Amino acid sequence: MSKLVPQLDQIFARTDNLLTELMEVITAFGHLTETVEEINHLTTRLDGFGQGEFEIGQLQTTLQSLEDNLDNLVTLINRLNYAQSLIIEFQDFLVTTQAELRMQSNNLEPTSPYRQQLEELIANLAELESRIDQNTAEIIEVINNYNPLLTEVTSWQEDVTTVNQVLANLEAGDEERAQELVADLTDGDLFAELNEVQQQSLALDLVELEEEVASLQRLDFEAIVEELEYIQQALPKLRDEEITDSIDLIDQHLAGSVIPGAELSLLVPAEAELEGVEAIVEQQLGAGLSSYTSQVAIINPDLRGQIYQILSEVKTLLMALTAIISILFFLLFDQTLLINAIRLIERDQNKKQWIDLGSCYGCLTGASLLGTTFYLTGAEIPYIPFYISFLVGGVLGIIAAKKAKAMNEISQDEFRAGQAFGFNYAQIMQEIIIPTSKPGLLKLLNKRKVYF
Amino acid sequence: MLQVNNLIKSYGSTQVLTGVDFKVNKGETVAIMGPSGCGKSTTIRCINRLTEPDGGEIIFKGVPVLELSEQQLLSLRKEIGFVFQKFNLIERLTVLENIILPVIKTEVEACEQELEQKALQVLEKVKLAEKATSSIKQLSGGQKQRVGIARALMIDPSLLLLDEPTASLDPILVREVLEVIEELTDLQDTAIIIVTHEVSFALQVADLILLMDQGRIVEQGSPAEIFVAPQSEVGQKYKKLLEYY
Ligand SMILES: Nc1ncnc2c1ncn2[C@@H]1O[C@H](COP(=O)(O)OP(=O)(O)O)[C@@H](O)[C@H]1O
Ligand SMILES: [Mg+2]
Repeated sequence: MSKLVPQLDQIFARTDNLLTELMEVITAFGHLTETVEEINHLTTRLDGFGQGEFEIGQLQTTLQSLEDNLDNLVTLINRLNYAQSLIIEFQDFLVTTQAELRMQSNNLEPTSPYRQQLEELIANLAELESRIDQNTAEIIEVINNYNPLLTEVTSWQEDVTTVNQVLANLEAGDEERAQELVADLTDGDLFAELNEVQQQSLALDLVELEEEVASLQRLDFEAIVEELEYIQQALPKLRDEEITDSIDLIDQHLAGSVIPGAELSLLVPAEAELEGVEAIVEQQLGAGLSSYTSQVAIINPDLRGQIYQILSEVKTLLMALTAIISILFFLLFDQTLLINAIRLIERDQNKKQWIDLGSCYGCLTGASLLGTTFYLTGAEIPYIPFYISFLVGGVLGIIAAKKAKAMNEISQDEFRAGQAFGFNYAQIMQEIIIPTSKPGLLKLLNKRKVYF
Repeated sequence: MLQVNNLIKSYGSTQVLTGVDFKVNKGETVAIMGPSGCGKSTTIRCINRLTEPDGGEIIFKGVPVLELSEQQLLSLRKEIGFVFQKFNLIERLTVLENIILPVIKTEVEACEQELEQKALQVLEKVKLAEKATSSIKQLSGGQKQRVGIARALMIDPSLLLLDEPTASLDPILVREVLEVIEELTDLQDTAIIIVTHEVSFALQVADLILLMDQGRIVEQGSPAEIFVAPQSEVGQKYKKLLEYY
């Protein structure tokens, strides 16, 4: 459809173009008749020169005139040829456009109103095609008849030019030579052929043809223009490849869902008196109507946009949930060990414990992990500001700190043993505590370092 | 070689050590006895600063232990063996690994085979050679404590601290542990401080017995003389106990 709509636009331009051209061809036929008659007349005069009375000046004027008329003839025939090619091209265009519309139409549900529109459009195009076919068949036939004459007319024209030049340089008293040349000119059967074709083209009822072409323009195109404009307006934003799918989808929803309260919006000018309008509407639409008026404009929801928005919200929400869950796991399985170790060391150093360093550590770790994860992945809980992710992370960290003892208890006895060996805290963690802990990232990373 | 002067420690408002003084010579065996909660464990844990004392002085081999830096303290601990009441073995490791663990971080990087060789020798000393590859869970309490002792011996300690090594054991298992310890008292280079309630054992193996009560040493002397005419209440109680047997 995305390709089709601009293509449909072309129909107007092309049709206009073709019709103008056709009209000009019809006018050209009128000139053609005149020209051929003129040539006819001039040739008769030349015949006269060939017979005897000879006045070189007059002959030259006649020949000059003949040359000009032949020139006209060639131009006219060329013009006819061009018109013919235009007609053929336009017919091709109509055929391919119909085929493409057919494809679009086949993609739609049989019950879809859009399908009906498209089918109607196709029928209209077919009608246009056949009428153009009918109305131009005669024209094209005539043009085809003129076509083979073109080369002969051209060479005749060249001959006339040559004779003209010869006459211009002729010495006085050379009348006989001139007479021969002119006799040669009028000798060929080209002139007979030309006359015959001319008879045919005269048989064309130019007036009737003109009317028919004009009727093409008036009748069919108005219908098509309406159809096209309707489609274009009905589908203003849908320019994607999946447009037909979307239409189908909407159709199905419309067909399947019952709309309990159909709604009619009447937009009235600001200066209209609303109570009056309401009274009229109620009177017209009768009972069972509930109406309300509003000053503000109503923003129509953009269905596609909303679906995208919902999808992206779902996506970010899923990411957020994944982040929260995986970080909770990380905190519970890995960080609880560190939290316990921090508490143990804190107790070991026997300082006054104003705050629980383990909980602080958990809170900070949770907050920074979740915050940065949200920031880096673009995860987001809809309608909740970004900084909340830090709070949530902090809460997760505190939960982990609360559960630390149950999750990953450190044997104090083993810790003391490590101290008695003269291990520092890092060595105690590495050789004793982490290897005994629950599986997790820390344990994995520690594997390469641990002695046993 | 070890001198403790006026050692003080309190937990919160309760004073646990109120000034402990004693002296241990090279290769000597010292037994610390006294009622539960009198501060015996606290005293020996202060020696390698597993518990940080509040005041006093500890001189080990001429070095003031309480003034050591963190790093120096760690190397001090590598010279002092410690045997815990509850064994404090690393459950996840085998017997042999438990014994090797204290020495894996020593400066002198011994090769694995040497360490294993030495561990087996030490195990021999505590009569557990056949348990080298067992896991800790498969051992009896007595065996566990002997592993604990072997582990402490692995560093060739010049001072061995034992905190009630038999207190967690069934009475029938106590003997096998005490036998091992008794053999250790013959070592010339290793001084031993043992906290114990085994009176007869103390009398038999100790060179010096310290009686503690309420955070102080109330009586001290050789096994032969300490219970002859005890001055302190605790000493008199012990004397009665001996007469009872
Ligand atoms: N970490 C501690 N916090 C508070 N009080 C303690 C702590 N360790 C020991 N104590 C108290 O210090 C006193 C001496 O303990 P301890 O040296 O273990 O006695 P003993 O080993 O002689 O039975 C006891 O009253 C005990 O309750
Ligand atoms: Mg104790």
